[in-house]
Amino acid sequence: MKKWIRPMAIVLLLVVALAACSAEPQTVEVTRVVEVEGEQVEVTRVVTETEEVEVEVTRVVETEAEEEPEAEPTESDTILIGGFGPLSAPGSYQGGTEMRQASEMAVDEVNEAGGVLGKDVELIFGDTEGLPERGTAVTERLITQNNVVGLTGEYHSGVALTEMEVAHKYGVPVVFAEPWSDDVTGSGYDEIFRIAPSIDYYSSISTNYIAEVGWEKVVFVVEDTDYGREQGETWQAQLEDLGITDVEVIFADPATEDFTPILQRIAQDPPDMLAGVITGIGNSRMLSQACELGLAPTPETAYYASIDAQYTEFWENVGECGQYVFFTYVGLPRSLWNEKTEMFMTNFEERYGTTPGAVAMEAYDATHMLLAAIEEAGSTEPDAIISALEQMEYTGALGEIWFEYGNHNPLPDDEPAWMWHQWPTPTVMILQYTEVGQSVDEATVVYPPERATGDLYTAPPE
Amino acid sequence: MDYFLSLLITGLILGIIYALMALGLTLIFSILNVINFAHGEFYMLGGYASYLILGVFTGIHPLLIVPISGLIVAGLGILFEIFFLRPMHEEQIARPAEYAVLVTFGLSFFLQNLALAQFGPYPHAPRPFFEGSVDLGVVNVSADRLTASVLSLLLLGALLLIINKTWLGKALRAVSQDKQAAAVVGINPNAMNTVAFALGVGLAAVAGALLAPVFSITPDVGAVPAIRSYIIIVLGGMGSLPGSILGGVVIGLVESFGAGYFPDPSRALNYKTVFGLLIFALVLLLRPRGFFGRKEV
Amino acid sequence: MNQANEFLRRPPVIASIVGAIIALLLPLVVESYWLHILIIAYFYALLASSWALLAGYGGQFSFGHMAFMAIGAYTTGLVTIHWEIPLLAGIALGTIVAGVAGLAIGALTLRFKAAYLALFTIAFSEILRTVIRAESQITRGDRGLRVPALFPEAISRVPAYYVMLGVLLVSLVFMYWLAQSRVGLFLRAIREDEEAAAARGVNVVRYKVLTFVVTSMLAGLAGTIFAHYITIITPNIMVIPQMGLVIAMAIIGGVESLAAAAIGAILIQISLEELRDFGHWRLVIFGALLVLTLRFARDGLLIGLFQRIFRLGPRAEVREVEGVRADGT
Repeated sequence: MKKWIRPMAIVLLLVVALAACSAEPQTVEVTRVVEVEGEQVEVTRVVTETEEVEVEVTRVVETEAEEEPEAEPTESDTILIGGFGPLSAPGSYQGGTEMRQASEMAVDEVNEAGGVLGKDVELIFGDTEGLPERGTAVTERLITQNNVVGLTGEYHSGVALTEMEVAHKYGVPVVFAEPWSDDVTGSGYDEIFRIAPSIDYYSSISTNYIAEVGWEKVVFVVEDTDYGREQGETWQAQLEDLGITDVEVIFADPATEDFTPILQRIAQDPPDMLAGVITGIGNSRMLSQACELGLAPTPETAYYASIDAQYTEFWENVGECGQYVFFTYVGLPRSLWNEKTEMFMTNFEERYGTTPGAVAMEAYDATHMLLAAIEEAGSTEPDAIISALEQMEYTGALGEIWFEYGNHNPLPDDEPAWMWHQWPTPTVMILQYTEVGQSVDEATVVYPPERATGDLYTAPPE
Repeated sequence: MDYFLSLLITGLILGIIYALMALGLTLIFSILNVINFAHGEFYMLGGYASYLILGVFTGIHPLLIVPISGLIVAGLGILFEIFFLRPMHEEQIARPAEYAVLVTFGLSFFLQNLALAQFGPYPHAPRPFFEGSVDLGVVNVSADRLTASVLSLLLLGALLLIINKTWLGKALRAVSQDKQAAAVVGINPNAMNTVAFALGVGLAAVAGALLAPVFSITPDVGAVPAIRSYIIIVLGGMGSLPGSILGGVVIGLVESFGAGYFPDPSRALNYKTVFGLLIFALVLLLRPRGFFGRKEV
Repeated sequence: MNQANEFLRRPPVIASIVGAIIALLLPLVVESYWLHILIIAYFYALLASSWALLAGYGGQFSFGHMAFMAIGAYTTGLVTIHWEIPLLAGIALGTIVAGVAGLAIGALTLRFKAAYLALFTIAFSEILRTVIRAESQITRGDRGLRVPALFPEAISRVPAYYVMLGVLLVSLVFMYWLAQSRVGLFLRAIREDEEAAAARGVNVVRYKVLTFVVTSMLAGLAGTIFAHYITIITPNIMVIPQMGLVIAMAIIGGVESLAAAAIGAILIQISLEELRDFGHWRLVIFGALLVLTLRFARDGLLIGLFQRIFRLGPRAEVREVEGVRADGT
């Protein structure tokens, strides 16, 4: 037995010593943590303390019931903000990466112009992998470890819905750039703002278009994800309100290889419009297979390819089948660019060598708005930032952005719940490719009428 | 009736391609006594090989690339066989059956992550073999899909000829039946193992390259075909070449009719793959050796 | 009494006790975020060690371990939401349902050669995922099922930490006991030579099914706790690459030892977090490590390390048996 007493004692001593360390002033703790983060994130500078230390420390004390550390509010020369989005699979990491790049660009621009409240700004971007449980952890880390004063970004709705709960719990403001679910702003949380369209609004553009053209029988094949399910339900409900009841919604795994059997089934009684609301590989597979069967796009049956048709891979995967397909586009076509958009596009291409999509514009504007709100608020207090955001009128790459309803202007009963802290007019349009290999800028705008550059619907020639 | 016929035709066309992939798996199993759990990843590599080669040599007809992709992937298969599977047959590794399951599964984990890190999750497609569709009376089928199916059928036939009529085939069959006896008559079992593994994964790669223009490719594109192949080889009888061909066609038809006639259309596509599991369970319950399996299971 | 003393003196036992004590004291020194990483690490440790019991001791290669985990998670999630029964009852029910599913699949496949189990479970896992996605009215599919929290009032992660740690430690002790018992003995006999074991009157199928059910229940238990901790579950938790990760953890740690598999899982989970900079390449690294470990260090990387530290194989008796076999055959 004797042999083991010594090692045991050493281990116990070590444990006690480690435990004693935690009783040291919390500032030391924070420094250590931030160093850990410094390795992970692009930020290479070691951040020692931030203004928010005091706020966070009291929270830590409440929660962990540790010995109360002496935390002094310390002067800091940086303001930390957090970004989140998918940077690796199974998330859509192309979108996430663009968001991170755009947010970094916005932060650098602000720093070059003198920073915020006279201090430098740093962005710490967390990878959510497109998983709700990762989103929770990342948000928690950004808030409690990095002590960020505000958050921005996110691509996936399912992830945003869990991140939002964490931000709400800690009272940290978030300007969401891309998640569409109605429930994001529909939560009515003080902390949550969004500059992307809600599903309800986004879908209404397509359903109104369908009603306008006069199609009566439509079939949607939608992916069985958070995005696809909400979309399918919303479409069905909106079309019913517009008096179109012959609507069928079919669910499919986005990784489905072969849609042929179900397409053959649909071809038994061809609809006026067939929609493939699938992201990634399934989108092009379904379109190619419908086209090969001769089901759509044809003079009898139009084909709607959702949003994925705007990406450059679209033509590689569908070839000639992409001609006469129409789709929804969120973001600005070249004709609606303002000075800021021009500048953003040029700078982004110069800096990263790629052409940014609508997602990048949203992340860019969201980041700028968050920083402008901190400057406007004159402090990093959450309430002050929220109030500044509510009253802000900002001109960004996407145009004039403002939040119609908030504490300053309560949401009326007849507006949908998602209008809370929501930019009411993101640009959503229906486009149609009329030639093989067209870019989004070359495609014809067919709806809404005030922006249309072509006929409502041009059927493929017989 | 036209609807029934059209489902029958599209099911048959795909079933033949499924059979090609399952045949590779069976070939490996019958000679090496190993189930290749990385079979789907060799399928995926075949697709990427043809995509990448076509991206460089833009002037070549895409069909010429299919055998080249198969050969390249077969070469990778040879390397893997020599470094990771041969030691097992030389009795350098304890409990070879367990090792074989794990090391091929590990390879699949590695290759899938490698492809994801290298190529990203976005779908790519090589140029099509031929444009347009072919009218088969009751249904239009894309020229590429028909090409893939016809070529698969030819390959299946050629392979059965090789196995049954040539010296190589005899040697392979001899090794599959009795290694020691084969060694006595001068057949090197190690060489036959390597040949069988290269042939097997080469077939998966050819299937991948043939279907790449039809279905496009992503890093996880092999998962569904691989699981389908596992079901097919159990259905056909483990180790039986004719069994896996018949099994492939049956699964192709079941998927086609299943999705075509499933009562609730909104779920029909979702449940297409589930029919396979039901068949799997039924085979195990009622006839564990499948259509043409050897007696002991 | 003497026996107990003898048992306590064995170095691995002491090391385990010391490890457990350190784990118990960690919340004193670790920040909330790292507690979260550790809770997830313990979740994987339970999965990896129960998979090691199944594969390393029982020689059964299941690719459906994550499916049983998901069965546990979804069962408790659904019953606590719809029937509003207490969490503990939900956790118990989730564990039992996972066991019942294990019994059904075990009874169906374990009569046959090992390959059938591997083939069937990989198909089962993918198809269960499809069904969960498809039946979204019940499971909420990809949108994720919101599950009641373990400690709805607590903001701190400390209580959840102790729950996950406690479940892991109790399960490890239970599995260790099982491995040392008659069942474990029979399992090893079956694994070494199934026909010989059967000839000596061991009911081979029954013991295989028993192990399969027990490990399925442990996976289900891990899933139930995980679900109530994370509070949202999606079908993505059971994709095949996740199964691959658990297998990599068990193999790299050491599939022949429960503790090595568990520690391997904890270390790999922590490195995955630390190596976030490498993006997806870190999984490529672990994939390569998995294949190389299988080929060149069958016992895993940790067991060799343990042996060097204690100069005593944790499973010396089995190694001898293997040695004899390798020479004799």
